[in-house]
Amino acid sequence: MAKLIVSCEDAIVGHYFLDKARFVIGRKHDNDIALEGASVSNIHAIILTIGNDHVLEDAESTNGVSVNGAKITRHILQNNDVIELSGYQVKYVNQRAMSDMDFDKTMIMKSVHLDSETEALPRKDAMSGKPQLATATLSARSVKTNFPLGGVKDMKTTQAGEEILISRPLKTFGQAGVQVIMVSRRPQGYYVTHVEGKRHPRVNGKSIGSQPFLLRENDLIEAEDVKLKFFIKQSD
Amino acid sequence: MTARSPFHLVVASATDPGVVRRFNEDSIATDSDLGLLVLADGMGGYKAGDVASSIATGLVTDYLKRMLNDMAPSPIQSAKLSRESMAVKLAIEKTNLAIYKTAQTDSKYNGMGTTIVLVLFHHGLATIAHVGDSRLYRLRQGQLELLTHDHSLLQDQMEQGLISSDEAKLSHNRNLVSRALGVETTIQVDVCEHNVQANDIYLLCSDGLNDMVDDADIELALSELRGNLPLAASQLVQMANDNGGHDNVSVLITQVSNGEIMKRSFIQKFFGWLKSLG
Repeated sequence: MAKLIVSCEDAIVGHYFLDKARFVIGRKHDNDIALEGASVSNIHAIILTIGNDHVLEDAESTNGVSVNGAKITRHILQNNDVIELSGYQVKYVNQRAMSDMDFDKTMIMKSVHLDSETEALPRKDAMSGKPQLATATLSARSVKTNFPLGGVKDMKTTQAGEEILISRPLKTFGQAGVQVIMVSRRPQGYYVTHVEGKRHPRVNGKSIGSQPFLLRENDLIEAEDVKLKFFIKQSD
Repeated sequence: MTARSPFHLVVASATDPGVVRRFNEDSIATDSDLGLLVLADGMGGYKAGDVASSIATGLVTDYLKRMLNDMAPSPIQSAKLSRESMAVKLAIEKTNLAIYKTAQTDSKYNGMGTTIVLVLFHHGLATIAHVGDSRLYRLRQGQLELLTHDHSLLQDQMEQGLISSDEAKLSHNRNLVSRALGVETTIQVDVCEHNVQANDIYLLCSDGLNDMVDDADIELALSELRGNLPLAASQLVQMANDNGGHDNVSVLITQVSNGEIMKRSFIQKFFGWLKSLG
């Protein structure tokens, strides 16, 4: 269970478990955490439990609430966050609240019913107008790799030598319906793969078949009208 | 071409336990005669999630086959869900009850449940139905569009303005689904109908894909690799695993083409081949 460790002037003054859906911090004696001091508001901050989240809200306090040094009005608590209010530090400890992916198994939520409206037959336009949720987390955005950025040099066109960096997970070359190859960027390096066309691509003159082929610097890739030289961009 | 649709479907799929999990609790099913694609992501208990998701894909296919075979294709009346869509809704409701009963009668299946997302092609339409956080995307003219709405606590919070999309990235509620099959005796199914265009690509996936791979990268892979759908499917799974692969990941892809054109081009090819022999 999530825990709060309250300290004042580097001395720990209390441990609390976040065991309520609405947890109140302030000067009043019947608060879940009662803090002394004139600069503490009667009800200073509230922590709400919503599903797996603990959401900290400033309850319109006179002197405000900060998390890790930044003023907040509302904040979803992350493991080891330090909440500061009127000279007190409250450390939030919850191993399950790591921002870096807590992929617990998908769970069915039975108790929380946010919507009370009774819905009739689903409308055809039910999907429009609602905000869409982008779920891919920040840490999932980029290929997790220290592998240097690479690319290909076009060896065919008249302005030969044009360099094309491949920073996204894949890029295709060739003509759709005729001959297409893919260069993909993976944590362990760059690969070339046959996508479509009668003949498999060749690397340094040898057919690679239908399987992905790990590229090395200066490999020459050829497929129909495509002629590319693979390079690794030297970091400056 | 399917029995009820003027379109021809090419289907490809890939499924993988991911990098972290040992078991794969996702299930997929397709029936090309019906023009049906189904995907389910099971949850709960030791291997019970796998049971729930495979009952879901299997039963929904069986129920729909029976219902549709008993039903003569009838013209579409506007302003009303088609009879096919009503059959889809009923089939999912019956499947929900069957999983619920299985979960109740056997203690090792207590608490199991599953998401479901399906698409049925008929009359130039796509009936799309879902429960839970499995998704259906459509790629049309290079643009990826999400046609389902996750039934998850996070999505519900966002729709009510309780949480912004920036905040959502800090939330730990992405794994809480607010609806699933097998949990209660009744289930609210979202059903909608969309017009189908030739060359549309439809992608059904479990959250193991869209939690790990950005929509922009899903769009990139689908549009760049449309000439080789099996490669597109395995590429999407590989991208999810390269980004960490925290969950089972399953994708089911279909590309729609005009049946008549397909037939003609086949005949042309055939005659071309005959000529080449002569």
